[in-house]
Amino acid sequence: MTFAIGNELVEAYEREVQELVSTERKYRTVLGGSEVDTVVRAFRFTFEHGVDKVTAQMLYDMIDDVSGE
Amino acid sequence: MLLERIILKSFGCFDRKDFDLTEGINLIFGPNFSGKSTLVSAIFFALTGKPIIPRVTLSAMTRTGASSGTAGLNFRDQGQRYQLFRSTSGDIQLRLQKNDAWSVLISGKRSAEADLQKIIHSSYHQLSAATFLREGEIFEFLARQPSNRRDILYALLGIDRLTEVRERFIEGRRLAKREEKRVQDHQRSLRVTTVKGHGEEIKRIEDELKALEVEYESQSSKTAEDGDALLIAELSQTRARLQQQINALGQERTSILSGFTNPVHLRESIGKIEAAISEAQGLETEREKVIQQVGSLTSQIRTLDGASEILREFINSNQGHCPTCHQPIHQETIAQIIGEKLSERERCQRDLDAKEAILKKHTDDVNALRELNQRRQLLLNKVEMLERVESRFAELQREFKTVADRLNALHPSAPSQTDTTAEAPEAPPDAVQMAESRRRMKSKIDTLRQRLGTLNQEEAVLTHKLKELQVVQTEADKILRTRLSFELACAGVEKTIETLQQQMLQPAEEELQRWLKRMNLFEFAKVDLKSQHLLPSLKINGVERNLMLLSGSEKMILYLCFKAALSTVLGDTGFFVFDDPTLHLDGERKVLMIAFIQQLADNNHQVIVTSNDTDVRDALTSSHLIETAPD
Repeated sequence: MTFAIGNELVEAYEREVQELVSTERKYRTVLGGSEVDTVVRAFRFTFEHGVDKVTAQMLYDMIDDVSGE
Repeated sequence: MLLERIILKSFGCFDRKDFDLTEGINLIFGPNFSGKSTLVSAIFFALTGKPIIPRVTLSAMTRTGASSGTAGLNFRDQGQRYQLFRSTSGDIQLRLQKNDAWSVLISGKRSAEADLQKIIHSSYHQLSAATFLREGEIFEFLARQPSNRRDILYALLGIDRLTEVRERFIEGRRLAKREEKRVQDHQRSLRVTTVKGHGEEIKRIEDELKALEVEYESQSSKTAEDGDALLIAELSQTRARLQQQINALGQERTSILSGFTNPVHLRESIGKIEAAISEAQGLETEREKVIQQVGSLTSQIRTLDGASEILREFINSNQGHCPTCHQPIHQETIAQIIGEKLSERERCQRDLDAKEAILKKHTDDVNALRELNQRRQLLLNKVEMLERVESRFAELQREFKTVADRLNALHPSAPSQTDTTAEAPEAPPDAVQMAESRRRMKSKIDTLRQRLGTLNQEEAVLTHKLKELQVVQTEADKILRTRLSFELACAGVEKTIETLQQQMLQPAEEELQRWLKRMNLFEFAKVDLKSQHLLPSLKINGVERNLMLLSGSEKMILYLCFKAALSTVLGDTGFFVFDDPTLHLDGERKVLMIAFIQQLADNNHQVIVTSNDTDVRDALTSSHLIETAPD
């Protein structure tokens, strides 16, 4: 058995991210809901496709696109 | 999962052999080199496809002389019977028993590994860390670096991929930071060059300019109303100025013509000088000739004097013969020759005097000619200056006439307005003052307009820069959000890893504590698996003692309890395989170890143990005994 796989892991990650946003002022004041969603989306994307296929530039573009909105 | 049979073919020291296994304790017993560890290795290899001892190659597990070896396992799981074969050349085959016949579920190379893992519910890391104990493992575990143990922990938790994801996020954060620095540098450069705005000054100048222009317009209207008085004043001033310039030119002309009645006289004088110069053509050449003649005559006279002197000395010496040819010489003849020489000298002297007189005249003439040339050049310069002055004079006169004509038209009663020698009419004092005032005002308006132009230009540059700064600020806000998003992403992964560790290690600690209690070991100790990444650490009466600091036997028992605890937390496989767990234990500890094995079996685990110790065999009388001997 692996302790956390697939969706469970993504959900656990999302919970941690939400908690960080609610507890840390720097995230709360600067980042909006869309940015937080994109962070989770980027995590899921990387986890699902694997680091061999997902480059840092792809993640940067994904997050930067939303930050500019 | 219950292991029922080990099937070996060309594997390790065995050619072809099957070993049946049962529920509960299975003791593989035999002397050294009888193949006990080979059986442990075969089970591990069949389940994972990897050698149980790291760095051992698969080919090393093949029986000597064989091209490939095979380890097979019959096992039962959730009411189903399976048969698993794995060859050292990489082939896998998993069969399921249906109606007394085997049907192939998985067949192929190592690509089938993932499908196989789903059926046996165990990963390599889990089996390696929790289910199997290989010989010497404990010392390797203790010797591992904390980072290495952390990697094992992550692999056990299935979160090793999380660390890879975190690496990607860290790279992304690095990109964001680099971009942020670029934007900040741009922002800084714009701030440095930004100067204070000119808005206030522009407004002030515009107001001042507006007021001045209104006033200027008002004066212009007034001027128009005043008729031609102001124009007459302005024209009169111009006329006076022109008159002054004409007078100055007249004086200059007189000065140039000094010594001549008029320009014609000047030009005639130049003509005469040029004629005289022309007549004197060849004078210089003639003079040169005379100089040469004078030189020649002077030289002749000097030679004659010399010869006469020698002859006189010859007579005075009275030698009677020639010192060169030794011929006899007559005094009279020599006296005669001297006489001839003197006569010749007199003639030369006369010629010389005549030539010197001619030379003197020629020298005077040449000097006069040079003076004439200088004079000619001087006069030519005067002519040139005169022409320039006359040209300017004519120009001024034309200008003067124009102004005078306009004045005449405006003020016909004024006498001789076109006469350059006439006095300029007096302009009305008010008009002059007004003209001066307007001139000053116009000059100020021009200056202000120029300043306004410069300020507007600078303001435009400033506005452009401010707009650029706004754009860069937007960019900076955006990149800050991107960078913080990446920081959040990284922090999120770290927190997830931490939480997952907590979720797994907390129950593992509790389970280990229970096992220690069962074994009456370190009963009041507090177990910690987190601080040193899986390395069990005990706090006994406030003093921390980790696994490394325990005795050999304590280490072994604690380590096996730790495996049992891990197995419970990670998902129980239902069996344990321990290779010689009682090695180096004294009698008392052997008993403790056997009790531990017995406890595992009592908890419905199949335990496969190897040993060559008869004490162990004798203690485990109820176990299924498998005696080994190499083929």
